[in-house]
Amino acid sequence: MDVLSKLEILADAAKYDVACTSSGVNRKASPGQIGSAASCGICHSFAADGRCISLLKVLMGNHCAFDCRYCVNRRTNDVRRAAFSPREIADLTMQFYRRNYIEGLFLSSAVERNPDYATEQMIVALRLLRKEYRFAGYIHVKGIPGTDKSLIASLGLLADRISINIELPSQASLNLLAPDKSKASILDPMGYVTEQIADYKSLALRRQGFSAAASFAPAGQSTQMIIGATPDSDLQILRLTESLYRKYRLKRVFFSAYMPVVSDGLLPAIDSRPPLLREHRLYQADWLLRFYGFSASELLTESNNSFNPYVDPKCNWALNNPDFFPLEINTASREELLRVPGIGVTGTRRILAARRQASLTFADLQKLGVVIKRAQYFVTCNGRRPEDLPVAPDTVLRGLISERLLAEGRKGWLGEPEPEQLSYIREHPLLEGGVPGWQLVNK
Amino acid sequence: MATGEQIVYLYDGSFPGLMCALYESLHRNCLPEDVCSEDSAVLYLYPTQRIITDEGQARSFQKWILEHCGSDVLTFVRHGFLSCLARREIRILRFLRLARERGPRVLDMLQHDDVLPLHRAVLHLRRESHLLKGFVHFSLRQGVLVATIGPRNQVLPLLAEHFCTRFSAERFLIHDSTNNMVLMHDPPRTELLSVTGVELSAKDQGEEDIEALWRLFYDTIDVSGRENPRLRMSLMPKRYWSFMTEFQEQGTGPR
Repeated sequence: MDVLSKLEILADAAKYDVACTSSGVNRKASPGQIGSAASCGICHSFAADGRCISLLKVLMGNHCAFDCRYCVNRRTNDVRRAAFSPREIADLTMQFYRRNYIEGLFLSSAVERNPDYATEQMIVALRLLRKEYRFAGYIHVKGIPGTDKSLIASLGLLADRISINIELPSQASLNLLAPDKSKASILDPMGYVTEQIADYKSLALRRQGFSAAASFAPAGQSTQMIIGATPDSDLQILRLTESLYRKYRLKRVFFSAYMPVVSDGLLPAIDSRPPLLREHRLYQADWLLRFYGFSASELLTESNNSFNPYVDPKCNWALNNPDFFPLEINTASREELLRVPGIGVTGTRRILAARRQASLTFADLQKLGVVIKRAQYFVTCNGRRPEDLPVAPDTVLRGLISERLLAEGRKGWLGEPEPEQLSYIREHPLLEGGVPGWQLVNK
Repeated sequence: MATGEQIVYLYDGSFPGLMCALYESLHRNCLPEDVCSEDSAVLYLYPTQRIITDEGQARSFQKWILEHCGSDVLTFVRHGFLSCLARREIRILRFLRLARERGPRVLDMLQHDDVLPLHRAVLHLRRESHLLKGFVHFSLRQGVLVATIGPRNQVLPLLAEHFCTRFSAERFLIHDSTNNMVLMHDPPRTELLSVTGVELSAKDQGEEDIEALWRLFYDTIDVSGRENPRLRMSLMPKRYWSFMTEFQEQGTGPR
């Protein structure tokens, strides 16, 4: 089989892995090397689905010994199979990299024979790239659950980022859909990677200025979960996410709306649509955990365990915590400002810098990039609210729900019948529990 | 406050030239109506004053900015000059007058009318140059990696370091067709040149095959159930597409 056909099969088999980031590490090539890495990450194109293309994302091979129900490459699925040789992978990466099509390689593999054999093949390819081709670009490699620690250790010294996918957010779901995987086979290597990263980091700190220390996955570790293939709730998923950040020091947790690729009685029907809005809400909440100082328990509770489709998690929190507001823009702390809908991390930084020069008005806030339409219900400037602040519930909700979402709701994107007008949404059961706070403006 | 004077400064269009014009204004405490490049064919309603470019004076003025306003302000001024903002020269002058009063913190004063438009223009330049670090796609022509771009801002000075570090041992050439400039790297030399045009030699043998592989990868990696053309367009505006390999049919595009 020629490289073109292999690429078609093995890129197709890899595309459901959402992560394509090339961030987290700065590196310049030393003499004789080619390539560099930028910690902010660089996108080289965007696919028609709007996802960033940063890395050559391929599988080493898709002959799989496992039979995970949700996976297109499962042993019992009837698909075309192929395998790259390590040399083919290395050559393709260099050809693409040199033309600046990509930031580097995202190499993954089906479980060819067994986890150790598949990982050994990937190690050979990465060694070729790093040692023979002197490649200094970005490498993201997948750790296969159940792989021997010594092999994970070799991977970590060659790659910038390692990810071991959790795939399903609970043991029960794993038992049901991925009989060859267990929680331990996933979390053990994940914990090992966490330890190694920490060890190498402290070693590098101690040796700073003496010699260049080897680094172990310097861009850190990430994982991915499939959303909507199992009945796990948003709360469960977000709690798990939070503990992965805390306990395993992960850099990123990725969510992948389940895309039915195989027909199976245990899975959503093959013609069901991927829960893209739910995935979007989870990412928003993930951002709140990582950059805004929120905890999972603030965003969702046992009694209210899924995200509101119409307002984002931050807005939902604000509407449910009217006592926290209004905040005075000119005196509120950084932590407080970050909790205001319509003010992001950049906006907060700009407000803190600008108010040292002069006290701020609503007109100033707009220039600093604050979304006044959302923030106006929650803040004052020098004790004042905007003069024409709308108070009619209809208008307030319209201000807080994005026009686009309303339009998409009308198109049935949310899986709901087509609402004739906004009043439908006001009466929507999800809003009754989730958005009681519009009275806020009347205070 | 300086008195506004009904005069237009004409400079040679170069950055040192602009520095001399700004120096002239601040030094004489005179705020001209406008500062324009000599070759901009505008009919001036006001008397003009020709600014003579003096490299030494330009350098010492930059040193003054560095010492009084900090390196971020100097970089901001340089980037303002590279941006595509209309009447950027007079805006940079107004900004510098404020910077002279307020020091490095002027960069935090986004609410000020002499800061915000320039800030937005600089952000636009920096974002565009970040995007192009990814969107520049080379093709091999006579052993040289060649790419053409059509940016809105003058991004090449910002791209130079990135590409020279990444491809330090490669010979490459990036042609900015908007601003008629070329970044040339022929190790160990790097040059940024003004050009009138670039004639491309034919693609090397085997190049079409690699481009076909890339197009195949691009088409394959898309998950059709997640189709979102609007998102793609907002992250990668259409004006960049015509320069990118994945949107060129085999055998088309710049040959």
